Amino acid sequence: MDSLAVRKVRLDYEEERILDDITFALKKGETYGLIGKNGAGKTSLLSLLAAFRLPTAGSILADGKDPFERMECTTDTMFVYENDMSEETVKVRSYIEIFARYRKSFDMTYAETLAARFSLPLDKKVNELSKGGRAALAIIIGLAAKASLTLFDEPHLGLDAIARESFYEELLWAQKDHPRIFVLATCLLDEASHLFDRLLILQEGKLRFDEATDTFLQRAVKVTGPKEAVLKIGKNHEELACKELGDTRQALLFSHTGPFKAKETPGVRVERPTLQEVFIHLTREGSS
Amino acid sequence: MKERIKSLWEKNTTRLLVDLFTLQLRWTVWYLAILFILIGALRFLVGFADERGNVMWLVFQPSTIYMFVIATITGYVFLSFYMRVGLTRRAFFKAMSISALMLVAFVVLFSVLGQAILELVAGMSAYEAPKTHADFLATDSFYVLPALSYFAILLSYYVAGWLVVTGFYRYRGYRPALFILAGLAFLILSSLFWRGESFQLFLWIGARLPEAPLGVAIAGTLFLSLLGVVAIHHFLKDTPIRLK
Repeated sequence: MDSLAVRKVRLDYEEERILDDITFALKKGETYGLIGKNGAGKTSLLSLLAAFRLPTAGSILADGKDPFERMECTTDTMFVYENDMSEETVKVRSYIEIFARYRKSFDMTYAETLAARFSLPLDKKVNELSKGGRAALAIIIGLAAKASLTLFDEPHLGLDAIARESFYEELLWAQKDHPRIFVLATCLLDEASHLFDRLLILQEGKLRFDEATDTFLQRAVKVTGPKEAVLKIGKNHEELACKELGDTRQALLFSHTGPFKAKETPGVRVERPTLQEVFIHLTREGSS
Repeated sequence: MKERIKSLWEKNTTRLLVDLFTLQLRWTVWYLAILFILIGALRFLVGFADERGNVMWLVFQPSTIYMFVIATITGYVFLSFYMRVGLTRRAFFKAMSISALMLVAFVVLFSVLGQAILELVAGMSAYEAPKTHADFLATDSFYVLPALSYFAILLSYYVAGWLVVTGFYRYRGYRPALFILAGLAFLILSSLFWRGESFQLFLWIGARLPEAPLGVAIAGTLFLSLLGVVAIHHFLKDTPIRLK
């Protein structure tokens, strides 16, 4: 699978609209950051991409074909999400081998290497693993599957900082070694933002941004200086957040028209904000 | 390319069939072992009378509930798992249907074998093997027609369990309750083919049944099971996969 095209997708559940008019495309070799607040529709969107459910309207095409119920697509798609595993009494190795048996591209040697890296004992029963161990197991399967479309939904919940760093390094290496489409839904934006080639930002079921990460970040600046000067710079741009102390004002400014070009002004400091800062203020209540 | 895809589908569906059957078989072997220990214990400790039925009938009675339960567990738990592994609903449906046939056949054949061994032991000793079949079986055939009847009825319980759980898997709110009613209606309908006052649904819901020839009863029950499977396919073919 080299590409996936999502066109005018809508998803309703009972009376509720979960996703609305979603259009974007994914291509091989790129890592996408799917971000949005809780309830924005991230998991629902990933479920659609994984062919776990059908959209109410619109289409999803993998290399021009509908992937729903096509085994050549489902065995080439890996959806990693947090799942309980408390009833899995098989050993870790046997559990991984189930996936290896059904997936042609599964790399068992790589899975063993990853298990060593995440200090995951292969001879332990799955339900005896800690929460972090289960998260590591899901990640190992996700990476070793070498699926053309790999979807991670908050895979690092339960992982400690060292294991998360290992995951990020492995993700970068995996993309280089065996290019595929990675979509990573995460709330740890500051940690993971360097992984993303592109960002898909969901807000209340709508796709608000589909943009290269660098281009997106160039839209925002954090300006600190005399109130008058900061207000002047921010004119014609959206002010996502501001703080004032005496005559000093700090504003997080966002350009809806392209990269933010702030003129150098004496006494005014201009910085690039982090992705997390921009995201938090951009998607908070009342922002549009 | 088309052949490669077809081969992938066939290989993975066969693997899934083996997996699902093996898994259910493991549980079933435990279930039968416990059942035999219980029957033995009842017979020798509290004088459970041989008139209560032969091995085939004794295995059949609790197996109705067992088939219903195992279908609900397998149909609910493993659909999500095998979709995550990379399979399709269609492959799951096919593998589950065939594994159900194999599992029910295994239980019936096991009970036939148990009865045959008991007859053999009886032939070599003073022990008289129990002969009584279910009241609703009016036939001179001792093995073949009763075995086919038990097979058809057990299969209908499996299909009923699977039908109910398919509703629970697909829907939330009040709709799963409708599938419980559908499952019950399905079992009552299939029970109408069988005569005799003692035939009971789940051992506790009684039904007074009209007379029907055994062949018609077997064929009717199998046909109903087929309809049940068609209904399951309808609800399963595009069911949203639960993330668990």
